Amino acid sequence: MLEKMLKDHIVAKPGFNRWLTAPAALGIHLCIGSVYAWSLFNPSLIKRLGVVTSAADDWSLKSVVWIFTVAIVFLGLSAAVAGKWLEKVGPRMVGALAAICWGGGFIIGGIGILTGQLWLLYLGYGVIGGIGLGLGYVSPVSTLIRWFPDRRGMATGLAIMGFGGGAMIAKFMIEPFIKIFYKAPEYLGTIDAITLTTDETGRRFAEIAGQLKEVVVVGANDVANMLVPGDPGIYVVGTGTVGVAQAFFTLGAIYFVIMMIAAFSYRVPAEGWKPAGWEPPPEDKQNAMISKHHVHIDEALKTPQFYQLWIVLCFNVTAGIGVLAVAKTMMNEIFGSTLPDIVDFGFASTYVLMISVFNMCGRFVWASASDYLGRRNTYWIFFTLGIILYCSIPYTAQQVSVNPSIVWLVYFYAATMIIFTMYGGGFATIPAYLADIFGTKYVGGIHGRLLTAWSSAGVFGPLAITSLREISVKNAINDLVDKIDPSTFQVKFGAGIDQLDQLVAAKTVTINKLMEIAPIGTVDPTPSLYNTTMYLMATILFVALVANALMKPVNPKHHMKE
Amino acid sequence: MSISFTNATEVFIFILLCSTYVCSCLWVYGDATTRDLGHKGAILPLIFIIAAALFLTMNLSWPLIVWPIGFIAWFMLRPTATHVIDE
Repeated sequence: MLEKMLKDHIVAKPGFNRWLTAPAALGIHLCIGSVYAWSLFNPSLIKRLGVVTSAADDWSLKSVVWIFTVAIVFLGLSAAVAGKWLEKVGPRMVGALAAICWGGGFIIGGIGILTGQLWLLYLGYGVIGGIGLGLGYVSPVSTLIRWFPDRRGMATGLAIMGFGGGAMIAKFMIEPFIKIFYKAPEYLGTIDAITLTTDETGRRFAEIAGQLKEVVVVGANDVANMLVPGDPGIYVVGTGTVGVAQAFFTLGAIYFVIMMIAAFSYRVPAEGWKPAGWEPPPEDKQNAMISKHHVHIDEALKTPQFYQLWIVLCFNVTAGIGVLAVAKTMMNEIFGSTLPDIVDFGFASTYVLMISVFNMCGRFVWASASDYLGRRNTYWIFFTLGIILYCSIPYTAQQVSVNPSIVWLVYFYAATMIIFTMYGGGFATIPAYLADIFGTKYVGGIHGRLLTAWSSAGVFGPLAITSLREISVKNAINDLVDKIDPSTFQVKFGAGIDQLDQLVAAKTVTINKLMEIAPIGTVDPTPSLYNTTMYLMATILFVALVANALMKPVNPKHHMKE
Repeated sequence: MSISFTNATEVFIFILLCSTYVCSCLWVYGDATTRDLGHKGAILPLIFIIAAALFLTMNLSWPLIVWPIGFIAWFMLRPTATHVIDE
């Protein structure tokens, strides 16, 4: 059985329609792309016991948000390790293992949720699921490049577009599944009607039939945060189900089936196959960046080109994460306050949806365009245009706070959407770039190792963003405090400026509160809080621009002997 | 893990150093494989990565000391014979 999954047994017969491999690749990427919808699970995970609101023994948000990062880290690591194996066994075996890991990861994670074992959730979704992500991500890349040597960018863009769109589709499954399996806990009555006792740990109890049972209290303000609308009052802990474990089991089964069907649809072209009427471009000066030679996976790690592409991918992703992390906040904080008639809740929600749409479309459009523009030129556009757009965003934010005009909103919207297309496009174009530089023979494996750049960006990108935000807020607060009369400060906060650090740590002093006592004419520093982030991201893109500009064909000493 | 930065330049340098660190681990792995060290060749990069993660929790400067020492050690200890992998 296993033998039939190996590369030699899935060679397509003459006349096979190469376009049939594209839906298989897209199917796998749509399934694994649902990892971006992880945040949809968070509200349910933190109410596992309390169901209507968090109980004392429920997991904290801080303890579950890192599962996504663990999954992304294991995506890169597994892709790097399994790349060589992929070239040996072929895409069907790797795709099937990806289905087992991704589907199985959901099942193990679901068991962890049911039993209250957080480590099982980390192991299942984060580690095993993350391995499934890495295997699934790289499984179709080299196969598609071999099927579409004439349109490498379009082929890989089509598959990787699925990864960008997976979260959108997952959203329409996760939320309904959670609601289907949701069971409200036992309702005891209104707060006034029940006598509660509180123990020394802060837990609350109600007496039911002579027994003390732990309860949670849903106040009028908590109703809006309930997963399924219900009445305010007292609910018994552990008598309902939040539905997320069952949703995990269902999603795991669905993803497993779809990915298995997709994996079994993979076919590889026969050795030496090429599309009818197509000839490889001549190896002349014009096509110098498209190699006809192949470089081995291990040898590729010794070429400067690999590290140049590593920097190109890593810094493009880091910059993308940077703007992703702040764009939604900027839209709400800056444009929401200056243009409240336009930027309301609905507008902000549409903006968030558009981020996913443009990210997804950019993957296909830019990767397809790279077939005509050339890979180096495509990244040259990403980085030069990116630097201009990143540097212009602080100016836009400043202008809209001085002159609230719709022009600045339109510009900000357009600029960020172009950036998101280039963020997605960077992911989708890189496999074709690798195939051009290192040849097609081991491109899947080399791509797998290059994905360590994504893992790295996924760890230190958010770390950098958080730090920059803290630095900016701290500087802004210090500047404002310098302008405020110490006695006014003392009256407002009940403590002197000498205790500023403690007051900031306790969130007693914030920029908004300082603005209330700042002298008239003081400019609100909120719009400028993101300037440093944008300028740093532009600098990072400049480094990537240089790495890309220095790209040359691989030294022939690294080529494999035919 | 808590690393405090005082300005954007430090963040930029941190990103560059992290990138250099990961790339050098990958390079050592590739170099080891083309010198027929096989799985043994993966041990040194693994030690680099684990050491960096452990030291990073203590102090940012520690990985900066570990990395060049490990890198120089590799150049001194690696087998001299190298080859291009054929089909």
